[in-house]
Amino acid sequence: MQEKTLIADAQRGDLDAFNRLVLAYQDMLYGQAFRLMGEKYAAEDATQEAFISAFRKIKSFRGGSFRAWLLRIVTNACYDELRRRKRRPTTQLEPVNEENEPIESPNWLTDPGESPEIAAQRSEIRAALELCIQKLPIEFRTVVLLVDIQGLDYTEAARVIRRPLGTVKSRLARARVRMRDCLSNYGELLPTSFRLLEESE
Amino acid sequence: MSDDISPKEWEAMSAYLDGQSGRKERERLERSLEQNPALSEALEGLRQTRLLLRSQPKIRASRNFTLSPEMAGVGGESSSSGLTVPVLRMVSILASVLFVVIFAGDLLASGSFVSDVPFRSVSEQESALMEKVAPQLAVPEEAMEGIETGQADSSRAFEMEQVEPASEFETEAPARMLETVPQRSSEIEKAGKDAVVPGTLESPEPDRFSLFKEFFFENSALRFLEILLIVVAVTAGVGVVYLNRRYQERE
Repeated sequence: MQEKTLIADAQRGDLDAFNRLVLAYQDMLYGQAFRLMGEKYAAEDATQEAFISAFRKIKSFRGGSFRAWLLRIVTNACYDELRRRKRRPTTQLEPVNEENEPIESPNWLTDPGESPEIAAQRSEIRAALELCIQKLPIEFRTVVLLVDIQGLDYTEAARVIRRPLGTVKSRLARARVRMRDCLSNYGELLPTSFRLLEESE
Repeated sequence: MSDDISPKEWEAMSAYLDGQSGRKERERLERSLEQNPALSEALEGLRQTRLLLRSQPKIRASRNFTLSPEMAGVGGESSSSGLTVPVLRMVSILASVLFVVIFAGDLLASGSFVSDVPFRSVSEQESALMEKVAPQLAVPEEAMEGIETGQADSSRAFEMEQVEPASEFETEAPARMLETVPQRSSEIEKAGKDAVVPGTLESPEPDRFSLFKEFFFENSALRFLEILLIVVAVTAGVGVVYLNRRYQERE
């Protein structure tokens, strides 16, 4: 069945039609949530919350890109969760060891960029990329995920983040530069062309 | 290398890779790339980064995210309750408007029980007064004859200045009549006071309750309709508030 028909049925309250849309888009939404949140369970919660919210709001969908509409909802769900976490941080500010002594250099403060060998041990370029993505500020991360991972064009991305086109352009450029600088720390993991480029510098 | 290139140049190169730059911007950048090898290297680095990002495999959902009716809030009642609130709201508004129209029309048509009933009660008072006083107003026949004779005599006396005084009988009649009239007047006054009905112009404190009763039961069908409309409007309004609160709690 066509997406438009499913959307129209869902707008009339047909849950089965909506669930078919869920099956079509759940990988995309979960992927976006996972890369924004950086952890599985938070991503699952955000994805589920986004689909529930989408079903309740689907009558307000007035056409255009359904994919961009869903991405906006899941991005907002992630932002809400990140804001909640910021208000109620769960990690101790001064972590202690088993003897209840403060740890001087806890591993959660270490920069994976500073020790590429550790990351290289994972022997996955994908892990390096994910780490670099997680190091980006949230507003840069959102844009780079929307354009380079989800494949949205600038206009769609601007609709998702509700910012002007120029903001998308500048955030994307800065995110890519930061990604490039971050990935240079994982030189051995990168494709040959990338390594050659680094060596020439 | 990143430090040598301005943010504007990075932005131009990033947009250039995505084919999002305008013709003039593209031409300007291409000229710069030819002249500046550092810029070309930066562009190549950016292209590689972009390629790496775009070559990332899609992440598969860790589980199924389809919604159950409970999660979607469409369990049994809610499909109909989606319509219930607007319908109830409309019913409440219509009943209220209808009530106001009918009540206003009723008041205008009947002239309102406040202004109209005292007016009617004045005429009722008059008739009641007349009924009570009428028997006392009846003047005896002989007195009437006396009045007539006296009037005739006096008029004749007026015409002829030198006339013999009238007989004793004839002169007594008007006198008796004159005595009787004040006596009757006081009786009438007394009877009139007795005959005053509540709610008249002479009474400063009309019986509002009886007037309301009269107004209320005058057209019982209309009153019943008005009460029914009020009940419908209030019930539907309370229903809307209750359902809205339930939806909010659920959300």
